[in-house]
Amino acid sequence: MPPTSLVQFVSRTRGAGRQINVCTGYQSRLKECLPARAENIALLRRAVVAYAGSNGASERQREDIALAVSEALSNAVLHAYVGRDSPGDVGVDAWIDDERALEVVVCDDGVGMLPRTDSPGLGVGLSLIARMTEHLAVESPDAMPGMRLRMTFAIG
Amino acid sequence: MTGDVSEPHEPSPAEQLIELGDLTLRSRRAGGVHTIALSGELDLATAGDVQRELERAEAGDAASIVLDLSGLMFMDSTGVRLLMSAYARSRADANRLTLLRGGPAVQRVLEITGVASRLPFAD
Repeated sequence: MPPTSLVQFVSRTRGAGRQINVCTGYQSRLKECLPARAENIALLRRAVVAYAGSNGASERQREDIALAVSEALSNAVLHAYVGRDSPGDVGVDAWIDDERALEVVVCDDGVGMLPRTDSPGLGVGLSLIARMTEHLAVESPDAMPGMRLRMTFAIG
Repeated sequence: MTGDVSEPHEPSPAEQLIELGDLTLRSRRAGGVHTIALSGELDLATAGDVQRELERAEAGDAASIVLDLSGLMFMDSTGVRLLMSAYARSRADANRLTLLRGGPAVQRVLEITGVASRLPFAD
């Protein structure tokens, strides 16, 4: 159900010296990119949750979104830049689609999906994300490095 | 949240208050009980410090270790793994560990991942 009045969710979160102001009206888009470090996970998670809230997501829906997005971001921090001296970026991109669902893409330009035998993290995270979403698509395009995880959430 | 967190006071020598960004950790030894109270959000950024404090308590001689999650508002699979590994160590260590339940979002993650009924919650 779309909100009948304009709801503004304001989230100002601080971490690693950055501040993201999410002060959105109904249906604008969130796009943010930060170094793939653990301390940036909460910052990006809260920005997506605030965006979802401003578009009518209930408390329970915001909990689901927080969990799924945290898992996706943690995967990027843990796995995307393994073997590199310093991490690249992790990005979130969120918008409302034509069916009024929330789309959230978490992406990185790291090593892509490789079989891992040394860490249990990725498997648990993805199955948890699948439980929270209406739809989940993992994209590791051959033409470009990295990984895109696209999550669809019913909101309102 | 435990009552004493809402009242401003200096931690006593037997108590440590550690601010970790989005998580606050309060570690207190009283008699034979070592209590670690968490409030805020537990994720990849803060789990390592919780793990270290937990291991510090486990290395001590407290007969009981209480991990109080009642102030915790958010946890993801990082926290689930932390709790499950703590429980595994406790089973090999006279079952010293007891958990106090977290907020609804926290308990829900533990239910979804199928571990809630296995962990040593009080009550």
